[in-house]
Amino acid sequence: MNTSTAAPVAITGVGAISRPAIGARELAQAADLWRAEPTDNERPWAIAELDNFAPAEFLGKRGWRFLPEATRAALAAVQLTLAHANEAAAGATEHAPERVGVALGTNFAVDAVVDRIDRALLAEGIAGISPVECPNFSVNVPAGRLGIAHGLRAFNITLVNLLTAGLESALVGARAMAADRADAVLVGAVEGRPPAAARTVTGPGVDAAGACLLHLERPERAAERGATVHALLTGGSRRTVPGNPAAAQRVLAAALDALGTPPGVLHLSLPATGGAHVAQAAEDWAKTRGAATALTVTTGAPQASATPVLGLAQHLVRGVRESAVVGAVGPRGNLTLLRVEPPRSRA
Amino acid sequence: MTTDVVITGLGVVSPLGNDPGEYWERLLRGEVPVRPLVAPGTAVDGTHTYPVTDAPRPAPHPGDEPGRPSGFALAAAGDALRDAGLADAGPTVLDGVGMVVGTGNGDSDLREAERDGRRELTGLQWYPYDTQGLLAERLALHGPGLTVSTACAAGAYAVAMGAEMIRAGEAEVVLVGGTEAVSRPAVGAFLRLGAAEPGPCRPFDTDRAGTVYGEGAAFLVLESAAHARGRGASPYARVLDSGWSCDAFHETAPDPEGTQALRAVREALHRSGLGQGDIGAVLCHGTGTPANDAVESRTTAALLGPRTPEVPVTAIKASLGHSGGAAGAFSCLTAALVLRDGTVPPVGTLRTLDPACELRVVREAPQASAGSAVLVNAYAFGGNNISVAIAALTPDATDPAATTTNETHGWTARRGRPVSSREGAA
Repeated sequence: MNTSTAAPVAITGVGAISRPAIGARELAQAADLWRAEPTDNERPWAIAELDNFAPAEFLGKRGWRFLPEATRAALAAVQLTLAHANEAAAGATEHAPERVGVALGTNFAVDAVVDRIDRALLAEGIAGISPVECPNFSVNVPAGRLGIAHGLRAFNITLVNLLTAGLESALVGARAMAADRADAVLVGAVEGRPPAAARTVTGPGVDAAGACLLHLERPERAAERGATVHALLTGGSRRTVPGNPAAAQRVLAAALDALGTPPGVLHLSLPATGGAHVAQAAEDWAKTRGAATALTVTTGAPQASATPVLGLAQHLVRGVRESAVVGAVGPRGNLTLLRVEPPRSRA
Repeated sequence: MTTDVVITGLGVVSPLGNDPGEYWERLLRGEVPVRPLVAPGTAVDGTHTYPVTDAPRPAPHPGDEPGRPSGFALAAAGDALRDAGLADAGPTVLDGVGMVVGTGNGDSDLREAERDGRRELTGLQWYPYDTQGLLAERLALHGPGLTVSTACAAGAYAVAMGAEMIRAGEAEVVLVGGTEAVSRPAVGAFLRLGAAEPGPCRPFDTDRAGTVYGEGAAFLVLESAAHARGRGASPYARVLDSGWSCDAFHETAPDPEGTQALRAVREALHRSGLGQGDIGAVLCHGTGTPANDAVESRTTAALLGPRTPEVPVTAIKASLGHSGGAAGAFSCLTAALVLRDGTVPPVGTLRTLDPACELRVVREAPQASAGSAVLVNAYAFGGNNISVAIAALTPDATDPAATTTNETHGWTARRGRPVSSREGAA
């Protein structure tokens, strides 16, 4: 997506099922997710359960117990997202399901499932594998379940780059709308339990599961529906930042420059280790452009690819008052930046 | 004005060989290199698969040894860049080269080896979907990078999304492809679901009983026609547009009505500005499962209409097995070779065509394609559907001189005349 060629997309709904918050209201009031705290890499590895989420409240009494935690969270998050997108809409005229797409990022949605299947196979042979669990070995099944639950047929895409996949999904969704593949797209990230080795990326403390989704639609359609626009997604930029500091500076600067004038706010989500050169490159970029950009950087990702999406969602529900660029960088240097602008006046 | 996207480089690691020339020759012969899987002491030992038997070994890289799929991808992607004449391009070009990798299970083999005690993991080996980042690092590509995992449709989505990156002005050159290796938990799950054939993969055969795992990597260099023309590259074919849809029906089974699969392929045709008469061949998803092939037979016949008896249709999984997230990329790469040579490879395992299948399925010997465009279908768990339209070069897609030198890539080509679709038996 390129700011000069893509039409802006309205972000009209936010849905979070996560340890920091369930739903948009809680997310707005939760502790600041962009507050920079040094990662204590000496802390022991710890997975915090998603014990503030009661699936039955969203999914009813039956039919969800054999689903992985991540899928349960995603199914509940989509309900919240659609409800939020329709909250202010008079008559809540929804989009035709054939024109609504799904693009989700994930890193660990099925990691624990694959682990269980393989260990069962090793211990007990084929008969040891739970037939109910079988389909869940495929990492795109959580997104597929969302499509099935709501009859969303425009497309259904799963992206998996470490840390950046959630933000990437917003670009894929926006571009698909620009290409007239859909009128609305549910984007974001869904996560499951990561392996302990992930601590170099996530940091030592992680959440067992979570999902955060955004509802994208055309601004004119949002206006027709009377939906509240939380922000306009006006552009995005993707690059692969090299490890060499000088080269990183060059590539990051090109990615930021591609998004137009320096934003009022720039937030980067970096892995727990190995991202210092990117943070430095961002600081240098702001200085050389003479920009009054407020830069914040967080290291570590307790919700893996959902971490930067949750941070963006919190920024949206607290009210977007100036241009912001929100980005994530993976451990191999994958960089995704999104530019959001305040919603335009309806007048 | 729409940007023309051309294919300027190809690379494969496959059960049919590790260069596109050998791959193509053996595919045209309808070879079926299926073998029992060697996985001693496990329940999947002896399961029939299509293995890569002589995988190229990636250059040593201390502390960062890739899994088999990433190793396949490194070799195939490097070959594709060399084939395109871009391997030695400097940072001014490589800085902007994008990449989209499709895979289903990623480097699952590394975690499998950790679980059964064969190895300890270091670096990022614990993350199975690291292939794109690893390739970007090793090949010094700094453009946009994506890893798409729409299961068995991922490779085709990678091609479509790479073409979109070029059309959107995000990159002039994008390396796209898919990679997969036989994965123990995935094979186990297929066996548990009763979806595996105990022998070769038999798309469209009346006796087909399931699919058969395969592995390998297929990569293509996509480039804007203007960029290719500017550096004197000789393209194979053009990537037109693609149609996407989702059944939203069942997590593993296709919708028997095939409504969304048909919508995807019609959309690919429409968005590409093609008509029914332009279709020269269809490279089906053709998994050999009773459900997939039945639905795909009907939707393809509905698409082709009165041209159903004359348009050659093939399914390369007969010779490659089902390479999951790589499968769609193999089909797109094969489509480029079909268009270059005007030849459609046979379904090497087809003995008795399913009587419910009205398609002109190519069997025994290659057949001539019947038009200027090839449609590639890919379907997947989650009800994901995609069809990609790939077309022959037009004089304005590249330099007129280059269009007459389309054998400069060095892969063996045009050996043996295909049987004309009008003279061959369907």
